[in-house]
Amino acid sequence: MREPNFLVLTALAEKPQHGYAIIRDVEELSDGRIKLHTGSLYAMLDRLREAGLIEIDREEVVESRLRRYYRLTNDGIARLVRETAYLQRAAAAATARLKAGRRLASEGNP
Amino acid sequence: MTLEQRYRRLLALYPERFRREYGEEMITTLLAAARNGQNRPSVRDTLSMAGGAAVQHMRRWPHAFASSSWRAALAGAGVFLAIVLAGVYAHPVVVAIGWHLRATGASVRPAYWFDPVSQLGIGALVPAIGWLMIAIAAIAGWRAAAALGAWLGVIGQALLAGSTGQPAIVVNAWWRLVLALTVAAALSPSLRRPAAGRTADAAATARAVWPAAVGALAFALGGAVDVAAAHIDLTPDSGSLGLFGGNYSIPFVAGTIGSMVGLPGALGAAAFALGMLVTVFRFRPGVRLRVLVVAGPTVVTAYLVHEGFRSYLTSSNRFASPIPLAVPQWLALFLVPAVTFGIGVAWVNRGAQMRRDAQLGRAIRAAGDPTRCAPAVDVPRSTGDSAEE
Repeated sequence: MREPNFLVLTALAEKPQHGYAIIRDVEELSDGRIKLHTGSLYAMLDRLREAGLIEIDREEVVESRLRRYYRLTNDGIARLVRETAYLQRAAAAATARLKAGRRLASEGNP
Repeated sequence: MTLEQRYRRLLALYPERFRREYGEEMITTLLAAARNGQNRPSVRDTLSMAGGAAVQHMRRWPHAFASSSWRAALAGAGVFLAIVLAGVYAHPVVVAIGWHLRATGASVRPAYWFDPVSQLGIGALVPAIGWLMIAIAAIAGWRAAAALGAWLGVIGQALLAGSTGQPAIVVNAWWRLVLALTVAAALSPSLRRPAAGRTADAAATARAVWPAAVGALAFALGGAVDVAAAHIDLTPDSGSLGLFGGNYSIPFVAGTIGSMVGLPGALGAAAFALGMLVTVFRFRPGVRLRVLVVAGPTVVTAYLVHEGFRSYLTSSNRFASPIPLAVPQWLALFLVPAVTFGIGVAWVNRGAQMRRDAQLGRAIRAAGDPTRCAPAVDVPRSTGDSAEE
């Protein structure tokens, strides 16, 4: 799964959110590296909905503007759990190998 | 104009389905993300919206051809236009072979007698035979072979025109390139179709396109008769040529002879045009309209080259070194066929959608009170509903 998709799912993991809240959340989660624009956000939301990973939670009208909240589906939760487990394994492997690499380097030239 | 109006203008770039689904909340999000006092969309917002709109249009593209009418039209047009291409390529080769035979039989031959066959070689026959084989393969149901052959044909034609390094030749060949590309594109999606009903489809297509095939044959033969019946008076310096249509005194150089048309040639060309027309009318109405849309880019391109590039082609013949085409000219050559096709598809699909909506409307009226038809879930019935009792 590509990182922006993963972050959008992560943004919805705790509670349903609307479009602008997702944009801000993704920016925060990625330490400001990923700034979604409205065009790309809705392309992603459309595709995630088609894949059955997210769905519409509710609609609200605030100051005569439509706000739509999205939430994860059960498939979406399962997918995020799988992706997270994979990333954790990959991060753990990277940490272990970096540690081993440093050890080898220090034994090589004391 | 307010910021919201400007955002709505960007939103208008999206396909209608997407606008209906997300339009209002996208405006909410765009306005929420806007800086205080901002009154124009940022460049990045504009790019993101335009890019997003383009992606959504492209994602809808395969759906645009999902109907059975479109599938039948693409399969039919692929075969039909491949036959047209075969005819277009066969005619000059048949004429050239005729001149070759006449020339080799003549006792006196001017030094500059044009001998097209020795110049073009047997390779001149490849495009005509190739497109005919592609049409036959498509009718026989060898879809992969037909599509592959057609794409090879497109590449071959493009390389052949491009390798001359003469923009005038490329411009002249442009409509044939568009036609070849149309055939290749029309034959490609049928690859994914299930094998069921293949023979019935093939028979129907073959039945629909035979007048075009007969017309193409008449076109080539008409050219051959022209050459065979031509009265040739050879003198060492110039030749005089008499076709049924009249007498010409011409030097025999490439291109000149090809454009000489006598009565048999004209009849052949008329038979070809009639064959194409009859073929178009043999498709059922819904399919016919779509076949015309598929053929549209070629027709419009031929017209564009004939009208818009006439002075370019005339003047470029007068110079020894090739005159390069300007950027707007290239743009016109690429965009005009593409836009023609896009508009045609949008127009046909919008008409189909309106007819479906109208049918739905009639069905709802026929069923009585429209509000009763709408909800599929259990609605508490009003007590005064006499029809239900």
